[in-house]
Amino acid sequence: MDKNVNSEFVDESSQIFPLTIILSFLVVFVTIVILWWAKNRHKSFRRGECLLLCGTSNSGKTLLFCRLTMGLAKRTLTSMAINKGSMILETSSTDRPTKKIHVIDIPGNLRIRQRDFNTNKNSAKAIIFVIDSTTIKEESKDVSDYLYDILHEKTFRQQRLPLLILCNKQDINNDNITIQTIRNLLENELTMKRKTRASSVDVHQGKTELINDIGQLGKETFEFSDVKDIKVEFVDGSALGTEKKSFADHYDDDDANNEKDIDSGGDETDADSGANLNKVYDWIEKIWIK
Amino acid sequence: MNRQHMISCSQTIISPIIHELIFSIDTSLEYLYKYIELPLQNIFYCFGNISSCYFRRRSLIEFSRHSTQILVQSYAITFLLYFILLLFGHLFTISIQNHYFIDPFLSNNRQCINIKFVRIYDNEHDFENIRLKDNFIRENVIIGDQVYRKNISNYSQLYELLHLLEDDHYMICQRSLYIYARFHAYSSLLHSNYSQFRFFLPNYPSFTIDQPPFLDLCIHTSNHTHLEQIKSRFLPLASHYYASINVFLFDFNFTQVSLTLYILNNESIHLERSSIHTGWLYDIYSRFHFFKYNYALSTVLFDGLSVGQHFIDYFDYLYVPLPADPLLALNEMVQQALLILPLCGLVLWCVPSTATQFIKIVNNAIDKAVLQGQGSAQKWVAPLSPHHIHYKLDNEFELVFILGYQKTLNISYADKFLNEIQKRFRDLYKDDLTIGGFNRSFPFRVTYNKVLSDIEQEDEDAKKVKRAPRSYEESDKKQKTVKIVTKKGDVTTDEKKKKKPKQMATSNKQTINAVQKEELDEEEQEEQEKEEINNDEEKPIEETKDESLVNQGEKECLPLEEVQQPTLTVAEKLSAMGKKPGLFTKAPVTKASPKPEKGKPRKVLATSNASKIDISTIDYSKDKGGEKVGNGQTTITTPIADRPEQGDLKTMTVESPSITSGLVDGFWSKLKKVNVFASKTLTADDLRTGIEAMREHLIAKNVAADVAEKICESVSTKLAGKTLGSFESLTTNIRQAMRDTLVMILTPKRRIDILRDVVDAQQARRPYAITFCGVNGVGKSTNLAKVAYWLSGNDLRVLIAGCDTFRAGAIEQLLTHVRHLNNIFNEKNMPMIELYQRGYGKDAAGIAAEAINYAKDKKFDVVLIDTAGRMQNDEPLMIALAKLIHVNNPDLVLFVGEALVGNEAVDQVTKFNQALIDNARLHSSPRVIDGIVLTKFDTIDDKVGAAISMTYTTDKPIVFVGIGQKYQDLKTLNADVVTEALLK
Repeated sequence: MDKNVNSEFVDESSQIFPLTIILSFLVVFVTIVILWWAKNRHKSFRRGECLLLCGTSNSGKTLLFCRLTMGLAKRTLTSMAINKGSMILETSSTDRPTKKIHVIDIPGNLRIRQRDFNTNKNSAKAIIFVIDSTTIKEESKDVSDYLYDILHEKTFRQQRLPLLILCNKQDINNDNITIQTIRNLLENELTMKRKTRASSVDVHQGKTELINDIGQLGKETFEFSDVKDIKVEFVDGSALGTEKKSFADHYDDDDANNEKDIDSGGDETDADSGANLNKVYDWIEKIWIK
Repeated sequence: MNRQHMISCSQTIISPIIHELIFSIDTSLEYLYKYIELPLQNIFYCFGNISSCYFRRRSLIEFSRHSTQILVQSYAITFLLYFILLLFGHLFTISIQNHYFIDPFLSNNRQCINIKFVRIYDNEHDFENIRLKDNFIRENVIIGDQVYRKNISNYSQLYELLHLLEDDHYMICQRSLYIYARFHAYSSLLHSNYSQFRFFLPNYPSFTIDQPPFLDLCIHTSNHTHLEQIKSRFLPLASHYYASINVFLFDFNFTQVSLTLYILNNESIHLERSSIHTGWLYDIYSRFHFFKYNYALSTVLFDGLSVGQHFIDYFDYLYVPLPADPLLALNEMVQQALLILPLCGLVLWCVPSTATQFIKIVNNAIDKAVLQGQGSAQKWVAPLSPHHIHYKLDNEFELVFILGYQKTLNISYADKFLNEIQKRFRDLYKDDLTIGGFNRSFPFRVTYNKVLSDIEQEDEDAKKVKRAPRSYEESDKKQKTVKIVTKKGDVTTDEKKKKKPKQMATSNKQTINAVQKEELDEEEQEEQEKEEINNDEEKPIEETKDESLVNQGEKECLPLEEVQQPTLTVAEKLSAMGKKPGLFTKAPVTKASPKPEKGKPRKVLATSNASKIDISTIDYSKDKGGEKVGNGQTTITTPIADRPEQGDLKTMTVESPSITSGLVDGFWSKLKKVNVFASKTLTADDLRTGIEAMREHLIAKNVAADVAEKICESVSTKLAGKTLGSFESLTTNIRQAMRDTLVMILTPKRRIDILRDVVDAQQARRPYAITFCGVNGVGKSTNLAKVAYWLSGNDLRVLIAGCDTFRAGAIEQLLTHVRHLNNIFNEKNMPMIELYQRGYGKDAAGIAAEAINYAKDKKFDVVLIDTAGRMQNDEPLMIALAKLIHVNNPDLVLFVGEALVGNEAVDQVTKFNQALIDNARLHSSPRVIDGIVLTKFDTIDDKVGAAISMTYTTDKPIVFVGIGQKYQDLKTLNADVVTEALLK
C-alpha cells in the first residue's frame, strides 16, 4: 500500500486523471443500473401477496373483482386485460389494523388467459376459481380443463396455496345446482382429464414435465379431498347482489340520477355484498388474518 | 441563405448556453473543493496526526489527499456526464414533441412572434402604458438591426419599402402572428396550393408554419391618396415575396367598425377572400365597439396585453361573451348505443342505459375482433346480426370505445364520432383513468349529447352546402344515407332524451328554416321507426387515437411538412430549446401531457372536418356580411356566437400538424431507440420504421405477405398511443407486442381435446370420426398413421377408412401402416387397428359412411378417414370432399398442410374452407375445418411462418405438428417456440 501511494505521489497528473474518469463512468453506470433495477422491481407486482381470480369466460370474475375492490356492482364485458386492484379487509378485532389485499383478475378468454396466468401466477397467495353455476353442465369440460391447470401448477403446489372454488351466480340459478352437484361433476371430469392429459401428445420442443398427477396416486377416481398440496374449498355465492337496478342507476347519468347514485352507491352495495359474498369474505379473512 | 441564417441563429443560442455550462461547472467544482475535499483532507490529516510514525503519517496524508482529489474529481465528472445526459434527454424530448407552435391564446409562453413596424411619434404621452411603449421600442430595434437585414436579403427590399413607408406618416403594422394563428384555419382554404413556409427571426427560433404566410399589413392613414400610393408601390413588390398578401387599409377617420369593414371589402386584393377577412375583422372588432384609434392599436394589433395577463382574459373582455362551451348551442339529433370500457372489462359508461341486451353480442365481438386483433379495422360486422359495430382502442388509458348501430343506418360519421367521444372522455376523466379509478360513475351524458349534436350539425351543414363533401367520401359512405341516419338515430333516443335535443334545436340560432323542416320530417318518421331501434348493439374494434389523429392530420397537410423536416438541423432544435425552456422546466412529463391533450378533441374535429367547416364558414360569413350591411350593428350578436367556436377549432389545426410531425426523420431519430429520460407517447410515425422492419422479418420467415401486413397493422394499432417509459426501447416494445399477438394467434380459441371427446363418443356408443383433407403430397396418410399410433397407444381401437380411391397405391400404403402398427400393438388378441377399404374408383363419401357403420358394429372407438389429396382449385374434387364431410359429419375435420408453403398456405386453407361452406347442403349449418395438422415441420428450420398464416386466416388451432418420419413424431404446437423462432 505504501508503494502504491508513493508511486502515485511521484507521478501525479498521469495517474489520477484516468482513474477519475474510470471512477466517474463507473458511478454513472452504477446509477443507471440501480435506476433500472428499481424500475424493474417496481414492475413485478407483489410476489406472493395477491388474491388471484381465475375462471372461464363469463363466469363473473370481473364483477367479483369490482365487488371486492370497490364494493360496487358494475356492468362488465369480456375482459381483454387483467384487472389489478386492492381490497381493504376490515377485521373484527380492534387490535389489528385493516388489511390491504391485492387482487388480480385474470381474463378467462382462452387466447389470453394462458399468458396472463403465467405472468401472474407467482404473485398468488390465494386463488379464487369462479364457476358459473348456471352453465356448468355445458361448460364442465372447459372449466375442468382450467381447474386441472391450476391444480397441476407446480408453483401453487409447492406453496400449498389455498384455492376457493366459488360457484357464482347462485341468485339466478334455477336448476338447483348445488355445490355438491358441481363438485361431483368436476370430480368426474377431472378423473377423465387425469387420464387424457397424461397420454396426450407431447408439446413440440416443450420440456417434459414430471408427471405429477393431481389427486391421489393409484386411485382410479379423482376427489377434491385427495388433493393434499392445495387446500380446495367450495362455496356458493353471487357476485351480483339482489339490487340489479343499481346497474341502471349507475350508467344513466342524467343529472338527477347522478347525485343519487353517488350518494347511495356505497351503502347500497355494501349492505348487499354482505349477504351474497359472505363466504368469500370469510375465506379471505381466514387466509390473510390467521 | 437559410443555412447562413440558421448557423448564425444557432451560434447566438448555443454560445451562451456553453458559457453558462462552463461557468456552472466551475462554480460547482469550487463548491466541491470547499465543502467536500477540504473537510475530507482535514479528517485524514487528523488521522495522520494520531499515527505515530512520521513516514507513515506522511504517506497517509498524501494518500488521503490523492484519494479525496480522485473522489471529488470523479464526482465532478459524474456531475458533468449527468448534465450532458440530461441535456441529451432534453434535446431528445424536443425532437419528439416538437411543439413548434403553441396556440398563443392558450399559452402563457407567448410563443407567438410579433413583427411590428411601428413608428413612434414624439408625443409619447399618447401611450398610457409604459410597458407597451417599451415594447414598441424594442420591436423597432429589430427592424433597425443591420445584421438581420443582411441575413434576410431576400426580404431586404421589402423591408426597405417598409421603412420607406415608415418615413411617411403612415403607421404600418404586421399583424402579430397569434392573430395569424387564429385564422390559420381559413388559410387551408386560401392557400391550398402552397406548402410550408418558415419564418426566420433573429430573436426567435426558426418557426415553421405549414402554409405560406399571408402578410397582413394594416396601414392606417387619413389620406386616400396615400392609400393609393402605398398600394401601387407596395403590392407588386410584396407579392413577389409572399404567397398572398392581404392588405387591410384603414382609414383613421372612420372610427366606426362598420365603416372600416366596408372599406376593407372594397380594398382587399383578393376579393374572393373578402368575406373571410370580413368575418375575421368582424370578429375582432365586434369585441371592441368602443374601438378607438390608440386603444385598438394597442390591444388588437400590437399584442398589447400587459405582461402576465392571460390571453383568455383578453377574450373575456367582450361585450358579447362567448358561451363556455360553444357546442352547447348545437342540437342533438342522433342517438346510438355507445359503450366505453377499459380493457379490463368494466363498462365505464354506456348509453342507452338499458344496453344489457347487447352485452352478449358485444362479448362475442370482443372475442372475435379485439382479442384476435384481426388487422386494424375499426369496424366489425357481425355475420348474423343486423348490426354494425365500430370500435376504437385507446392505448394510453386502455379503453375501448364501442359504437353499435343497425346496419341499415350506414352512419357516415361513426369514426369521427368515436374519435370525438374518445377525446372528450379522456379529457373529462383523465385523472381518474390515470390512477385507474374506475369505481366512480362517469357522468358523460351531457358531453355525449354535445358531441353528437355537433357531429350531426356538421353533417347537416355539409348537406346544405352542396359542394363536394370531401370527408364523406373519405369515409366511403353515401351521402343519401345521412338523412336516414339522423332519423334512425332519433328513434333510439328514449323519450326523455328526445325532448331535450329538440328544445336545443329550436333554441339554436343557427338553425335555418330548412333544417327545422327536416327535423319535423324526422320526427314523424321517428315514431314509425321506434320499434326497430331496440336492437342496437356494440362491438369493439381496435384503433388508437394517436394513429387516427396522425393519419388524419397527415392526409391533409403533413406530407408537405415532412419534406421540410430533414432540413431542420440540430442547431434549429437547439434554438427551439432555447426558446422553450420554460415549457420543459415548468411542465414535466405529467404536466406536459395534459396540455396537448386539451387541444386534441378540437383538433381532431377540426382536422377531420377541416374542409367541411371551411365551406360552411364561408357561407356563414357571407350571410353575415350581407346581414350586417343591411341591419347595422345590431345583428352582430348572432354570428358571434358561433364564429369564435369555429375560429378556435381552426386555431388548433395549426398545432396538430406541427406536433404530430415531429422531427421524425431528423438527426435525433437515431436516438429514439433508447429512451432514457423522457417518457414518450408513441405515435404511428414512430412505429412505422420498426413495424416495417418487423413486417419484412415476418415475410422472411415465410409468413404470407398479406397476413404479415395485417398482423403488423394490428400490432401498430395496439402500440400507438402507448407511453414509453424511461429505459424502454421502442424495439423491445414492438417485439413484445408482436410476441403477444403471435402467441395469441397461435393459442387455440377453443379447447381441443380429442381423447376427452372420444370418451364422450364412447359413452354415446358411436365412433369418433376424424377426416383428414389437404392438397397432394402434404402427408395426409403418414400423419393419419401417426395419429392412429397415438390413439392406439391410449388403448383406443382405430379404424382407418381408405377413402383415397384415386391415387394408385394409396390403399396399399395404408395397409402397410396398419400392418406395422398392429405389430407394435400386438399384446391384445384383437387387432387394435384395422383398415376399411373398398378398392379404387368408388365414391369416397359412401365408403366413409360404410366405415363408420362398420366401426359402430365392431366397437371401434375412432374412425380416421383418409381422403384423396386435391388441389384447392379443383372444383369437382372439392365438391366431392364437401359431400363426404357433410354426409358423414365427422367430429373433427383436420386440414393437413405442409409447413413449407408461404403465401400459398392462405390460398389453400381458405379455398378448402370456402369449398366446404359453398357446397354445404341446404338447411344445414356448413361444416368447416376444425383444426390444422402442420406437417414437415422439421424441415423448415425457423421459417415457421406457415403456422401463423394458416391459423390467422382460418382462426383454427394447429392440432398436431408432424416433425419427422417415425410414428412418434407427432407433437402439439408450442406457441412460444414458434413465436421465438419467428422473432429470432
